[in-house]
Amino acid sequence: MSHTAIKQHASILDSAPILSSLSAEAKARLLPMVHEVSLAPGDVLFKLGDPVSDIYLVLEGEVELATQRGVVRVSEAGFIGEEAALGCMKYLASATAKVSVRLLAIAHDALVEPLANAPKLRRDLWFSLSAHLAEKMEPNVAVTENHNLKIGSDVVQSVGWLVTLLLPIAMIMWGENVGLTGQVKMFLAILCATVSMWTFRLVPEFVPGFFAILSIILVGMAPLGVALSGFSSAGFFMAMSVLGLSAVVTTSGLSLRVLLLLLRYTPHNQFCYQLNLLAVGILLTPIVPSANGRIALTTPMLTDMLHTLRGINGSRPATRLSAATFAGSTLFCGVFLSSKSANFVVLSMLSAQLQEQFHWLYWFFAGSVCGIVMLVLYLILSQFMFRNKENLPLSNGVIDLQLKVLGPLSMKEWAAAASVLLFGFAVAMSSVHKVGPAWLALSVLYGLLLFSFLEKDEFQESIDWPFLMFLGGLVGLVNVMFYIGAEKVLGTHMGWTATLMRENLYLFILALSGIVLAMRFVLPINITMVIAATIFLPIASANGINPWFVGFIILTMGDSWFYAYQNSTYLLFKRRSATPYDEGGFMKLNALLTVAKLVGIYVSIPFWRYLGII
Amino acid sequence: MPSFHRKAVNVLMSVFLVGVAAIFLYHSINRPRILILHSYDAAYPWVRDVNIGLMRVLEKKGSYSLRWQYMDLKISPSPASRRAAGITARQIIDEWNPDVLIAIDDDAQDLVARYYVNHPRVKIVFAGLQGSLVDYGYKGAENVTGILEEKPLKAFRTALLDISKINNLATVPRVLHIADKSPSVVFNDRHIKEFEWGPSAQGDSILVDNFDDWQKKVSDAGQTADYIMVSNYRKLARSATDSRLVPAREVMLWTEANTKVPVIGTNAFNVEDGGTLAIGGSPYEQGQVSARMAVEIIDFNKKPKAMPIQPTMQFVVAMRVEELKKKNIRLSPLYEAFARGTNNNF
Repeated sequence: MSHTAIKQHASILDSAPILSSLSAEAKARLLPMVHEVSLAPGDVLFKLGDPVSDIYLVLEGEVELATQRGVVRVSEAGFIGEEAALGCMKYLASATAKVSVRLLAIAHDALVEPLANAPKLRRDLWFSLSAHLAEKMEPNVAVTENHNLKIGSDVVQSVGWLVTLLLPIAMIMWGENVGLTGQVKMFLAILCATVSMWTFRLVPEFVPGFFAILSIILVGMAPLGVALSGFSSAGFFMAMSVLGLSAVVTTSGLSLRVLLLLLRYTPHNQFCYQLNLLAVGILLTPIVPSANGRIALTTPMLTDMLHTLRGINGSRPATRLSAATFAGSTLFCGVFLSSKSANFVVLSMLSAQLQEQFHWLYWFFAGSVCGIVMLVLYLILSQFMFRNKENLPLSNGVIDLQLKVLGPLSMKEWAAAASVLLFGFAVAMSSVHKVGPAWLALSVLYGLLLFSFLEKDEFQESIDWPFLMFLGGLVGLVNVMFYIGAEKVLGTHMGWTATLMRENLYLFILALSGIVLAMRFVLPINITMVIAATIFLPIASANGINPWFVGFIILTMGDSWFYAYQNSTYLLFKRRSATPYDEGGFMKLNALLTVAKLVGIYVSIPFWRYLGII
Repeated sequence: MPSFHRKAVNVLMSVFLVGVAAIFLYHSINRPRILILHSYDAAYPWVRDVNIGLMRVLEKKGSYSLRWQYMDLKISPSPASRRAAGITARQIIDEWNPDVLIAIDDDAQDLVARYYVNHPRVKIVFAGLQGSLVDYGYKGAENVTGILEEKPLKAFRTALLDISKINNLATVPRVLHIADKSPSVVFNDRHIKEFEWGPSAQGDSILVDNFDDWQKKVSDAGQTADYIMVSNYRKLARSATDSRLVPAREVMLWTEANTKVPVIGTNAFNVEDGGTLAIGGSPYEQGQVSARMAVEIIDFNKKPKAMPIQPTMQFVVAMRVEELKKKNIRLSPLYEAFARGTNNNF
């Protein structure tokens, strides 16, 4: 893409009335994801029922939209293909150029995040779509697609509900045969139903937690204070506050600005590009508590870089840079407490004294050796697997324009930067002021809300409330397990685990990693981590093994995957980057990184011993 | 450009935020801090009851900042775990810098508190201490005071004589103490052997490694003793080849079912674990007295060295009245009334 073209696109994005509700930061992010399309009279842009790809802004000319019931025409400054951004699977009309037409195509994925933060744009796109199709809109296409999808999932759902129904009944009827009695039997029956709902993904993941808490309260298994303890724990408020702080950092555009500056002012050679992409991901890891969110932020950098370095798609340099982008955003999740929701789940499952000990900085410190080992091994593997001597000159044009679109540092960005620095400083000084990190985070969040840097709507939309409900329910469930002593029963029935934990730590790490990796073949990342943590953390506590150590293994190994279907973040990366890399090499490196994680854990053992963790 | 009023609002909000933060920060920095360091885990009945005693005093001190640290050494007694628990607790003290460290039971003294003898800031209040003050460097230390934990052996001997008399058992009762080899029990072992039992009674003590040994000693006890005394058994491995710890309840239930002579505990929790009778030191007293000492140090600026070390003054009786009846063991009604009055009849 030429510099002039990019400049034009920046100007179009900035001036298009329908995009006026997008922030400068969102527009800057869109810039690398747009391209221009020219059509001759009579050319077909897409047909009714085609899978959605892009959404188009008409720059010049007129396009005819035809459904089964009629025709409408869209001219300059109008949008077509809005259904692509609004979640439809297929186009609801056919689009044909009436005259010579110039269009600006925006990848439909690129609008997902801006739309989530810009309700007005979403509303405008719906109005635009309705205006084009009005009464002529024919939803059959989308419905057919959904119906087809549903048939597959119906079978799984039926099996899932059957298991959810029968497993607790079996536990209640025959639990005594395996030595389960009274409240422990009832608790495990509730746990079975809850885990089954998670495993088969029968409902959104926070709903089974509600079921568990409700059941515990209704059968009077534990006092309200214990059952609902997850909603009043320091971990709950830590998670809520960090999610709020992250929302301000990302929506303000600060994270994007930092990334752009990093790319702009570092040497332009292949090794530095790789380090940059890796560093950008690592930098975002503690700030953006979602791997998908980080990938959404970093992939445009990669795409843009590869566009500029034209002709290298599928080559070793492209695979190397792609792997760096993905690894930077995903490899160090276990090392930073605030990198993903599952880390907060593990933190909240720790005892009060461990929660106080493993605050943000100490968690990072304890995980740092593993992180360094993984980083070094990554660099060695990547250098070895993708070595090449290609010179890749990169222009700063796009980055400069993106920075220009962002404009000068806004008040919100200042506030976001100040909040991050203040939080980091306050946590580092906690030995002086003795205020816990959760309450420091809540204080920072309070300041942001007070000055409206986080508006009420953003507070509602940017914080993952279903996750917080999930967290509260799960922690309550685990605390009830301790309250009724079910962890001891679990430990007795999984005696081999306890013996391994006590007698052969090295073998235990291998066994636990194997279990977690095996679970990952059938379960998604978060559910694997939560189920493994629910089972193994209480056993570790009951056997005098530091549960953080067990949690760290689960969090680090649980992120591993071998096939694309196992990792939604990879699928997102693949789709957003349009797979410009050699997938075989990429997957091989990814598999080797699983070994690197294991090596990182083993190498950390002397360090953890030195710290008194194990 | 923001209007004058908007600017004024922003300034006022900033002043409010900074002012509130400064007040809270000042308050937090100046709050007296007490670290309560337990050698064992929170679920251990002794620890639970010491905490009840501590809170009877400390819950009235809302302005104090309290932090609990459990070393879990009954759950995981291995040398590596002891080392790790000591390092972690010392890191926490160094980082949190408490005004008073209440260290409970001998492991907490041995692995942690003794490193802070004559520390310029941290004052040590020990509780549950059965070892020697000299061993921990507490003798003559400027910053140390506390309460000793002594097994109420005199009360125990009186009870033995009463039971023997009422039930027409041996006139000079012989008692054998059987326990695991945890550090605190090693001190018990010494005290029991050194205690002047005679001429009205005889006492001996034996420590075992594992549950197999325990079972053998309990089975054989009838030949050499008229009573078995139990104290701690939470660190019993299943056998010489199986290092898994045997649950306390399993030990006590087996012991009561297989003993040929009456079994009497020296901790109230022995009955909670499944025993029938115990005459033991009071965990509430240990908690209450140590908390009071901490308050005096903080609120009245008392020097620990000037505060005399307290001996054990109280004991508790715990029993299962129905089980004793089934075993046909009669006791003075006073014991039953004491147990019922202190909620220790199970």
